[in-house]
Amino acid sequence: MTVPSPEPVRSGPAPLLEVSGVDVRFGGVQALQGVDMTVPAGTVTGLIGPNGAGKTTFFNVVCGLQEAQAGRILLAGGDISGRKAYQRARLGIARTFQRLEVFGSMTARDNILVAAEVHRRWARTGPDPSAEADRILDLVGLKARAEEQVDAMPTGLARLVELGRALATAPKLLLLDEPSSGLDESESEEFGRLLTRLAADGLGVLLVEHDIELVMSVCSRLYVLDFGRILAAGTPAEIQRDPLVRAAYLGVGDQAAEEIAGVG
Amino acid sequence: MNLILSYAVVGLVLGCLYALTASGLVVTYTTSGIFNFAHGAIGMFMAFTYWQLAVGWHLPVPLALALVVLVLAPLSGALIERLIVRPLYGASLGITLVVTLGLLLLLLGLADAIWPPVTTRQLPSIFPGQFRVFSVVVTFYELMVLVVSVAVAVGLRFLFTHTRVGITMRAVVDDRDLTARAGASPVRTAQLSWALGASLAALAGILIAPLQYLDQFNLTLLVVTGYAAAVVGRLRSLPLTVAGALLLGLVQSFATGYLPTNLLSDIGPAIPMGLLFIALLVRRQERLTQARLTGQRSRRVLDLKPSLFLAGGFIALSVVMSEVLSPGNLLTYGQGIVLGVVMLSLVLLTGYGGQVSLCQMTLAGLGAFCMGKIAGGNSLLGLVAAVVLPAAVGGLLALVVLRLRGIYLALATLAFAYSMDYLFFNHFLGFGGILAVGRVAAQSQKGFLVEASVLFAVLGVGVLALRRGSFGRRLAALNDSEAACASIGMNITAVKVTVFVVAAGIAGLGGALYGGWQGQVGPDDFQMLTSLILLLLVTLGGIDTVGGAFAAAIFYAFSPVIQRHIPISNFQLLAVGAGAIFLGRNPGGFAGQLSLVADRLRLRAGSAGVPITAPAASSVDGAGSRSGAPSGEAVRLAGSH
Ligand SMILES: Nc1ncnc2c1ncn2[C@@H]1O[C@H](COP(=O)(O)OP(=O)(O)OP(=O)(O)O)[C@@H](O)[C@H]1O
Ligand SMILES: [Mg+2]
Repeated sequence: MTVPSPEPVRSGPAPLLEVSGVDVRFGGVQALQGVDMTVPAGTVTGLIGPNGAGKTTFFNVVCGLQEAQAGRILLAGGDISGRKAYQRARLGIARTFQRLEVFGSMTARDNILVAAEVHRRWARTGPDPSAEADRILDLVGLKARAEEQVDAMPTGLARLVELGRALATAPKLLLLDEPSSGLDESESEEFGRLLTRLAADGLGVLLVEHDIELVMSVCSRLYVLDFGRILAAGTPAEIQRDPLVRAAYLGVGDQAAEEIAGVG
Repeated sequence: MNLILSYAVVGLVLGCLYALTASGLVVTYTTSGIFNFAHGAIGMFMAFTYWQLAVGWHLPVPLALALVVLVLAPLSGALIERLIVRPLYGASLGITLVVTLGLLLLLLGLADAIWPPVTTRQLPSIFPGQFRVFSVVVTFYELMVLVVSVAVAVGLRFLFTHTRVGITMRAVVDDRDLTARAGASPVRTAQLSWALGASLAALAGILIAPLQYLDQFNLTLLVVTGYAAAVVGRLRSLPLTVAGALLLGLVQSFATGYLPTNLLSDIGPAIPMGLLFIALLVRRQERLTQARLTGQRSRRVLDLKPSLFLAGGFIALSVVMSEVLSPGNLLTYGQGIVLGVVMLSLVLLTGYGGQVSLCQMTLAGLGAFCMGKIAGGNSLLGLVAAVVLPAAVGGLLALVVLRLRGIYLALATLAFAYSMDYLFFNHFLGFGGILAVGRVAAQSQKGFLVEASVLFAVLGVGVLALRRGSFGRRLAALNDSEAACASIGMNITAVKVTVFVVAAGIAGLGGALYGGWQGQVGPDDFQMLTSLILLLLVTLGGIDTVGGAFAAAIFYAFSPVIQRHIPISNFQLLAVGAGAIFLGRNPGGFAGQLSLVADRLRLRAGSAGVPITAPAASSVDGAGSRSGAPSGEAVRLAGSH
């Protein structure tokens, strides 16, 4: 297993995404509590944690679908906390959804095309949407199934459609919520290579993933979320050794804890 | 002082009656997740049934009352749930709305056929007589309403907090799956709630009826006031609903007492709608809609060439029809076509964009109004205004209701239509009675028919082109998932306002054509109920295709002809109602069925044009497999290789 060498966290100007002190409460449930996080451009950052830890909620806060009770979100140094979801998307935040949010009545190609068209409309520059859609279909490996209606596709492929759609917005930051569930082992590896390639092109990726193997292989830095708090942050190697993390995962399942400890 | 008290008593009684209706609505909605537009119609039907037993067949009043409220109503409620509602769990709002509206029309049509409105019917007074409290006269009937309502409220409260059944009912609302896992059957619970809801509807119908003579339409539409109260309770909270209902009753009663009579008769009925509007708008921001699995294969959008071909064929058909049809049949054929234009606006707005509108005839009426009032009633200027003014109103409406989605959007457009009935169409300062509307270009009957057909064809081709293009993709995306739209940087507001404006413009044009075809129009042509029928018709035809609007137009055109040859009265109402109910099992409408058949034929012919694969998840249950349910993920995490 190859682990890319961790990059220095603060090189150059402001990091791509800088989140500080985010609180979210749902009635009595404290879903997020004082969450700080930094995601640099050009790398894949991992966010792991047991079920219900608040990972998806964190994504929703970053992309503007969920209001936070407290906290600041900076994108490339600019405060976006007050912006609406679509405005944040135009500033360069794209995402996929754990609970799929595809345009199910449309074909895979149209899913990607509509995103490219929207981007072209407001940006007034950029490649021709139709050509861009074809390029991305190729990139995510959906060329052969471009004309299928997405509702009828298996989950794994539908997730790739979401990835393609997110890429069609020409994002700076990509939030991926469990993108590999529904993919088999070889597809998962292929997906990991794609992520590394995207990051190498300068994209900042924040990856939520239960497939520990994938996380360990592509992430240069990891955050561990537990009960809405950041439990630990560091390189995959550091996280594997962290006793707190092992304890948290022991609450979920021995096997997972062993997996965290054992991979790499 | 006495006067105030008297009005308070009347208002309280009225409020109690509204509370009974609204409570039934809330109970069924929270437990089954389906907003029952037919709630009032069920109450109406039961009130008539009660009249039949007590007056028609001379049963003793208490026996008739018990029979209706405790036996017949719950039985029909349970039956309705079993036969009509059950296939709808997990269906889109558009479908549930159309099916329950269909039930409304069916019951209305049935009641009209069974109890023809040629004689006036009065319910027997249950407790005649009156007494005085602090010199305020209170009738025993009023006292009884108060007592019954309080008893029902207390009973419901007890049911939901202290009994197993009631607690399960509440649990179903929060989490269907969880309830199922806990061993209670959500379906059985929902059935119970429909039985209970029907009982409450019957009780309300029977108790409200003595305030007026029995009338199908009025009794059915009284529930619209109930909608307002239910929305105050956010369709969930019974105490808030009751409070809203009492407030409504009191406001109405004091309005009767203190508003000048002429003003009151004009705006009185719109008061509940005003409250409904306010209650809707003060709701906090709703979440963006999320994707749902319908398991439905979407139909291909027709390409330009075939759509031009079909448009040409349609115009040719109209030319032929204009020659062969008798004047009477020509009239209904033309009506179908001009209303078809209004239906096209629904295809765009509701079919493509997923924005349910129950006020398209109101906008059409504004179009007819512009056409008739401006420059002699037959000018091009009038026609332009007939597009522009409704479009502007549509845009304004869109901005006001922007935050609302799903059932709340539907209710807001319904409130708009209902208020416009009173504030504009039936107001001497507004529409002002019968209005003569002229024609632009062709003046003869045949010529105008062809003109209207050409317009319909052009609009049809245009709507299809819009759907195929970039805006159409954005509309479809909006219909599928607003959350995803926002995530790709789409300005949802802009798309919504645009589609409302364009659709309203088309509806306005349709209204102007309708006026021109009829020669003169009145307020009745543009009533809320007509909007509902139109929506049902086009859904029956297939609301997501232009062909659907065409099919609906043709059905509308020829149903009077069919009516003449069969002995059933209210054929159109019954057919549309029954058809809409049938939709619960076959969404997609007539056009959808046709395209399914076409696909099968194509498959059999061996040309593999469209792959017909079964969707990965074809039912509601399938949604779970896609939603990344936490439990499934936990297993994966713990047990992965
Ligand atoms: N809309 C909501 N309303 C109420 N509670 C919510 C809502 N969304 C999330 N929660 C709660 O917030 C907590 C965090 O949920 P979240 O979905 O963010 O976790 P997660 O880390 O993504 O879990 P998983 O690994 O299962 O996807 C959970 O306790 C969840 O029940
Ligand atoms: Mg999650």
